[in-house]
Amino acid sequence: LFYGFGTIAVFGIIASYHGMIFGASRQSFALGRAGYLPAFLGRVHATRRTPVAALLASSLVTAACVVVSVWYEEVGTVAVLVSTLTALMWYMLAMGCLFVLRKREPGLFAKYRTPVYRVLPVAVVVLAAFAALMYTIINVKVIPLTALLYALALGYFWFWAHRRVQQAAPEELSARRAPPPPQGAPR
Amino acid sequence: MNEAPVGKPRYPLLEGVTAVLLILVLLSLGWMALGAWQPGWTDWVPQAAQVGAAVILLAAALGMVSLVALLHTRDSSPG
Repeated sequence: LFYGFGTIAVFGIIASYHGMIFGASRQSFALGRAGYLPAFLGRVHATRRTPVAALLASSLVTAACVVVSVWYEEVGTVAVLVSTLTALMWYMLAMGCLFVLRKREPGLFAKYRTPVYRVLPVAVVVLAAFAALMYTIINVKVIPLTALLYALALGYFWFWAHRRVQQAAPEELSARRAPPPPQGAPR
Repeated sequence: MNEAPVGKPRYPLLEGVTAVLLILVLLSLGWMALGAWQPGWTDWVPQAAQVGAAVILLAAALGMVSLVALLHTRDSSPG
């Protein structure tokens, strides 16, 4: 039973790796194309049209953590804890954006309704905030590193990237093309 | 299945049950925090029962949210 569960877990982890390779590379590709990250990440292969630079960058960062953890075992653990804390911050920010957009751009939600609206987003915020609060008790050592990474990213955006955002990027075009609110727009 | 009117829930019963489960999950979170802050206030419930109830509640909430989210991704427009 133990080895059977371990085998199933290994297959699940392999599936997760494939998902992460696809998701992480496409995310950094989109941000590089829009100008939020260095532009070289937004380039694609000339013939295959795959985001090679973004794939290599995300893979190298992951591989570096794995290799360094051979000598410093805590590197892998810290990397996972930092990424989890940033994921919790992202959940709360995403729900905040949902509430703000509901008020500012109700037309965006003319044909899409958030399931179980208000209860589900509020539950997400409360659960994420509770989990993030646990970091101050259990994993407080990763908080300064996470804060430093956020500060570096915000500094990069404030002093460099925000003047170079590509207005023609699909994400920017979609944000500017929000339809007017129809009659009876959802709350 | 016809499109629900804008702003109205497409599956009101399922969403209502899901909302109740989510509220119970948040209340259970408060119970856990209360147990950590004032252990004497929650000791009257056996720990195994508390853990079992939390696991069942979280599993039910996860299942219902997944079901509602899946149903919302299905195209219900005719043609």
